[in-house]
Amino acid sequence: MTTPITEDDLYRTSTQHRLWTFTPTTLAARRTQTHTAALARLPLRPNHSNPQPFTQTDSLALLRRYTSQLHTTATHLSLPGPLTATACQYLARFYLTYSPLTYPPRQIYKTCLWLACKVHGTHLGLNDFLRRIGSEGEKDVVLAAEFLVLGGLGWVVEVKGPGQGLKGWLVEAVGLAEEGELEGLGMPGEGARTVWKGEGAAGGRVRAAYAAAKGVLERPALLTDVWFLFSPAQMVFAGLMVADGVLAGFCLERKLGPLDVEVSERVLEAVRACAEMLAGFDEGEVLGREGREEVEARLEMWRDPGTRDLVGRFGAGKAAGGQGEEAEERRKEMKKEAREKSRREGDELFGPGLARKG
Amino acid sequence: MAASPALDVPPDPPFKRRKTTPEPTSGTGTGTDSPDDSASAPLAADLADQLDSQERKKYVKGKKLGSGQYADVFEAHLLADPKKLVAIKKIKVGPEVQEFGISYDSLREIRFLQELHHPNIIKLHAVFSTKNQNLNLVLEHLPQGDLLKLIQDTQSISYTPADIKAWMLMLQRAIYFCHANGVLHRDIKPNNLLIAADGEIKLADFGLARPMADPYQPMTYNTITIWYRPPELFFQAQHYGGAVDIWSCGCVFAELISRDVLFRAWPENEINMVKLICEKVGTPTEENWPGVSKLKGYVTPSEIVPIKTRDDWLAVFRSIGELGVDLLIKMLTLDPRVRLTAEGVLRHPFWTAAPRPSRLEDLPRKGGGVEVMGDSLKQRGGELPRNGEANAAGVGRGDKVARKIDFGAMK
Repeated sequence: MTTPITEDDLYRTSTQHRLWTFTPTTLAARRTQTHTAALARLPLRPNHSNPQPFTQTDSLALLRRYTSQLHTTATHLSLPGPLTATACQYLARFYLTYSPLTYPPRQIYKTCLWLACKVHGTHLGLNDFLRRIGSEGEKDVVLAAEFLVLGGLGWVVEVKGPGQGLKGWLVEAVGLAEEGELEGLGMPGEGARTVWKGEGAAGGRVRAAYAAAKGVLERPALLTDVWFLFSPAQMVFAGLMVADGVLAGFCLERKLGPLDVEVSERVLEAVRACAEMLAGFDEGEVLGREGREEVEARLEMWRDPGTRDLVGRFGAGKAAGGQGEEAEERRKEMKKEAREKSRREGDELFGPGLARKG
Repeated sequence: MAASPALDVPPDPPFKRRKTTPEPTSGTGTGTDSPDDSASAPLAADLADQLDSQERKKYVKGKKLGSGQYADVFEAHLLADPKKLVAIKKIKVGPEVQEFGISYDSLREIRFLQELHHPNIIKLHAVFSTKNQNLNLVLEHLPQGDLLKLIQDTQSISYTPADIKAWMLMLQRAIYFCHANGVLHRDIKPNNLLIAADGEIKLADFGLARPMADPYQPMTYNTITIWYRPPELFFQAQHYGGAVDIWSCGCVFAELISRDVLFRAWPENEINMVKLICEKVGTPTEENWPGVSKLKGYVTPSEIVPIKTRDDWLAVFRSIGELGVDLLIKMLTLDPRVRLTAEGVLRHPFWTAAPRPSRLEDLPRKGGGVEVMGDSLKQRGGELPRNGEANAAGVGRGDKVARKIDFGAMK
């Protein structure tokens, strides 16, 4: 007899599970490894006296800031949630392969969003995209990093998130409410994020919990490490736990029903740990503009000068390889420009222009 | 084999770092700036290249198998084991790259092949890029051509209903797996069904694939090669599911049986296709497909053809047996909500009834040889193969390979 494939089986074969899921320990180890390797590769040290080092903490703080920026930009463009999540995960995954010291996020994050747009088939033109994010004229930079970013992702572009699962839960839970299964449940506990206060029918409670969970999963989830540590299904219920723990607990128990005690205990533990991370996210911890400028100034001092010239290294001019004089002309021009630019930046590395950077 | 084992890979460039780092003014050129700059400690600048070249250097590129507007396909083998063959699909850099970078098709193909691991889906071993930003997909080597070549070679290939059952079963398993993973293939046709050395069918070309949409999220109706496109897409439905792939599978099934394209509209346009579907299956109406007249693009010839009866179908496809015809009718049902799902197809009694599907080793072997793989892979999704004309004849003329080798004939 054949046994049907379960969703768990399928998820276990996904690249997200196989390549981009970690335990807290392995995740920390990977970050340290990437940071150390980047430091070791730096060919030069700033000749300032006692420069403050660019630490791993700086790196994480900066990434969080850029993730937040990605989120804000995508929201501003009214891009769908899963697309935003994909872009943010590209950024997060990329920086497990490379350190900001090698490729500062400022050079990378727009490409992450552009790639996510293409993967999600928005069919937004590049010029249109750039105009809408206020980055006209950065076409070459955005395209230059495409292969770099994809390489850093291990050529894996699929990102699975909790969005669909949460919608599925909504459908099921509305059904439960209509069948009267949710009568007699206790009120949402202290600190629950749902706006529901006991008024109206159970369907209202379900929808309020959905809305609150959606909020949690759309932003805090991206700014914490939950994507690296938990499965989308665990994230769904964790989001619901934060929204309305009583309702989430009831539904989860129903779902787990026939599992043996040990397994369901493990699932509950994962969901609780995930919920804790989500609930613990503090918007105030995201670097503000000044904080970012301070960290980036330091990064500018330490960063690898050899990777400055993205366009020269990976630019579209190279891609045009041998397409007549025009391409050649353009390529030369771009190279010259890039050289000029990096020389200027190279000067700044030692000169006084640092505070100006923003 | 006359193939040169030379790697089509230029030597690594000098470290780019030197361009931007102030050089020591000594001008000795011996790179004495610092001991840890030696080759043993790779520079960050080249980390990206390193990751790529690690992958690239695993393969030794051989002869070109096919060349198209969209991609070149090369045979290659593992450096560590020359017996392990792969096919390298090198995506061509077109003018659109300047416009929007890496193409949607390539991203889609990489996206889905990275996720879908199934014996009947072509395996993507690796992806790497070369110096001038060329994208290379390292794919499973499938030397036996494709189903189209088998179907078309009526002169020298004959096959049985048991063979058809075996091929269709493999296709349906692949489709079930795609749909279970929430992926629509959207370009099922005989030349996207490649044949492995052991005779196994492999679904290829995910350049038009996409995830199943969330409720209310619109999708394009302008997809799937026209002869294999289901009626709901001609009527411009923007919400659809796995049923579109099942229709295409039904077309392949019918084509395997009668050895002719089921809906060969000529010229290939939407109006002619709808006309043909009406003639061969019946006119879609509110009676047989509730709601169809509300679809944006719903137009049918004014003369209504009643739905074909079982006997009508049997008259054409009797050779596959009554159960086979029953399955075919259910796959080519007009109303996509009534059409069988991928799981429904697999649960149909046809598969377990006599005759048993042929064993792999008993399947006909001559799908046109390894060049056909090059041929099929180089195409862009949704393209019709130039019918009747053996593409392989025009392939490889420019390269220096003396003779094309027919792997099938060597068996």
